[in-house]
Amino acid sequence: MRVMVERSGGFAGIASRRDVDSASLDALEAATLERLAHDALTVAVPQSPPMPDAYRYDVSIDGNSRTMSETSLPSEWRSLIEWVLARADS
Amino acid sequence: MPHSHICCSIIPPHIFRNIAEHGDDDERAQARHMLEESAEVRGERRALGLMASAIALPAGEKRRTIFDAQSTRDLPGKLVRSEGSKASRDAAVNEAYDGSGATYDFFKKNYARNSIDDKGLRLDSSVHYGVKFSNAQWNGRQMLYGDGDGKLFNRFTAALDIIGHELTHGITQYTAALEYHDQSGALNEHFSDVFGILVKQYTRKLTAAKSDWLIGAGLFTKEVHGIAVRSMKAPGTAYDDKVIGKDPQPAHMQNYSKTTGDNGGVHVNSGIPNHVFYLVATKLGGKAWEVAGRIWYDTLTRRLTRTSNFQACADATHAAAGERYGKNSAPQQAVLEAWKAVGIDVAAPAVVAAARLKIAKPTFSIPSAAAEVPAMAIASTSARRARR
Ligand SMILES: [Zn+2]
Repeated sequence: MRVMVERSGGFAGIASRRDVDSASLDALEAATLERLAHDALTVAVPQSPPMPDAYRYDVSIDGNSRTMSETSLPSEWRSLIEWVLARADS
Repeated sequence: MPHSHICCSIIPPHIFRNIAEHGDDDERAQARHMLEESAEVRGERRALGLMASAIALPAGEKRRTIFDAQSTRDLPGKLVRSEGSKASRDAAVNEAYDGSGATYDFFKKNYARNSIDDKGLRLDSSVHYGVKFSNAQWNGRQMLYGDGDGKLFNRFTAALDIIGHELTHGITQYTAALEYHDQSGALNEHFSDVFGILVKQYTRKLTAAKSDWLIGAGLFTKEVHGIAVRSMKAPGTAYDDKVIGKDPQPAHMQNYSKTTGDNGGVHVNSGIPNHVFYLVATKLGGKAWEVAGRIWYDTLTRRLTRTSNFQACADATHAAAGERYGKNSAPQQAVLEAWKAVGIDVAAPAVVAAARLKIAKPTFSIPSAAAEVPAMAIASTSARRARR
């Protein structure tokens, strides 16, 4: 499984991007990634108009992309995003 | 936490603005009723309370309230300082209090504007939002400020222009309501940077020549190779760092960014109009908030609409300068030349009038002046949808 997260916007407008591939993670980390992605995918992403200086996230799971805003981020997606952004690229 | 924001996704800010600005008692009652319905469905009682009190439109003077979110995302948090109460031992609390006060005073003294909605709306700020949160935001109802991660960012209340920037997002919400994507979004960012820097210049008594024209100076830690987040004087030169990269702002339409990230580069392409303002203000000299700021304030509050683009802003600032200072006056000439310098020619008044006429035809777009009723209809549809 490959998960790419790009966070853009925010007051500073400085983007940050991580690309994580379960194939290059150890077994425990790979299982965590797959569980977080699975949990996120069970929750629909609410669409809301972008708010000033809120982060925007572009999340791609195995090539399937979604765009979401900090202002309407379900906790399942937040968990996945935070986990991926805290990781080094693999 | 998403629950504290959810009301914004149901009721778009422009509806809130329309109700606050143009609503009569019945409309306000109807809006409150719709809010109750939608909030009840979602159990958003706290959000309801906040929105209802905002709609109640208390006539006010400067009223500031500072909350401590205590490193959570729960808003507003614990009340820690209100208008007239003594200073806190917490620097972030005092910075949010003083900064929102300076911003209130700036708009009141220079443009006779009474708070964000021009009706004395209470200025609420929450500090210590989230954990190592490297951001500041106006969320449609209040300001929130993170502490920064300490690695790249200091706390976000540290720069007065950031506070002015966030509060101006509130003013934009209640006036032009520029949609936060692409060129209208870059203009939304631009007006926040303009009045953010003007709040700083006014408060510190800096002329256009003396200002550094930097947004977010002091926000980066010493680890970052950069002087600020943005430069209005020289967009694209504020930072160049191995971790965060290089300042991507253009100063000319030739380098307009077509990125899809950041809602179409709203923090990137704002460099173009930002530079225009810098050119006008330094050309005219003296106190930038007096003439250049006045033209931009007139433009934001009276001449732009939700979908205005750079060209519309160029035309509007030119018309605003002509209206206030006279046709072919020095300010109007400075505006014309500054837009030209970034690659935008102000349209002749006849062309502008023709474009307006086109918009006014009842085909696809609704002119903003007639938008109150449809906006209410949208809100009730949303409320119905939420109930299902
Ligand atoms: Zn902003």
